Amino acid sequence: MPETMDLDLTINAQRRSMRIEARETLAEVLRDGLGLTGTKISCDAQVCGACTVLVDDLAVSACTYLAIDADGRSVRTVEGLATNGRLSPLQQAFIDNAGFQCGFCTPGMLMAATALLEEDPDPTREAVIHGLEGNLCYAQIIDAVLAAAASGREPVR
Amino acid sequence: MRRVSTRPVAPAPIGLAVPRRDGVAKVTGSGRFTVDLGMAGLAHAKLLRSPYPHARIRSIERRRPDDTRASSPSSRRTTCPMSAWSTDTPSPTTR
Repeated sequence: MPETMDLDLTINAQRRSMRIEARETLAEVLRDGLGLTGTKISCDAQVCGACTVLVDDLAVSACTYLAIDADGRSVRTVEGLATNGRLSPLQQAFIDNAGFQCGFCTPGMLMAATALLEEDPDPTREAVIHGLEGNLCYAQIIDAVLAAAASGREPVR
Repeated sequence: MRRVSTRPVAPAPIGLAVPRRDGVAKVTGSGRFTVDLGMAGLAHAKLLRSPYPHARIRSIERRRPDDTRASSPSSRRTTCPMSAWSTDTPSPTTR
């Protein structure tokens, strides 16, 4: 019998409690346990960034982050970026700037870029490139993040 | 003989910004990729390839799958390699 543990955490501003196996990763709990399949598992080895979520506002790779380590913490996923059906400026900028092609890496990109912009609302191009180095993709992302930063400085889109 | 129409057509989309119809689905995580689909009773299979390039099959050992297989997402993970795309042999089941 695998060891099970109680997990209490806040996911996208909602308190959730569940019983998990000690070895389950945060990505597994989000996807299989909670049905939040926006978080993707791609390399499963903390290389590609597709599984990036925010734990207490810090970007982490959910594929290698033990779910139990999120106990008592606040987790944000791509499903929580839009509020009341309104896309975040970053989400809108991804659409407007064609910041994705197939879209598989997009949730991780969005979460990493969200953390980046929360820490530095007005990043340089170099800072964006550096901030997204842990997220692999071929599509055009950097301009979308810069556009989102710029839209945050303007009163209304 | 094939005839080619010379009637003017609608402006070609070349050079125009085409709205992404899948944009919202892709940026909200609601877009479903194949790996996101769950089906009731979904079974997982794995091919075991022969290590011998040219050999005669004399018998096939068919063991019954243990009863934890294909029963739940968590038990699935105990009977598959730890890495999703690994070609390692399955790790031994723990229950």
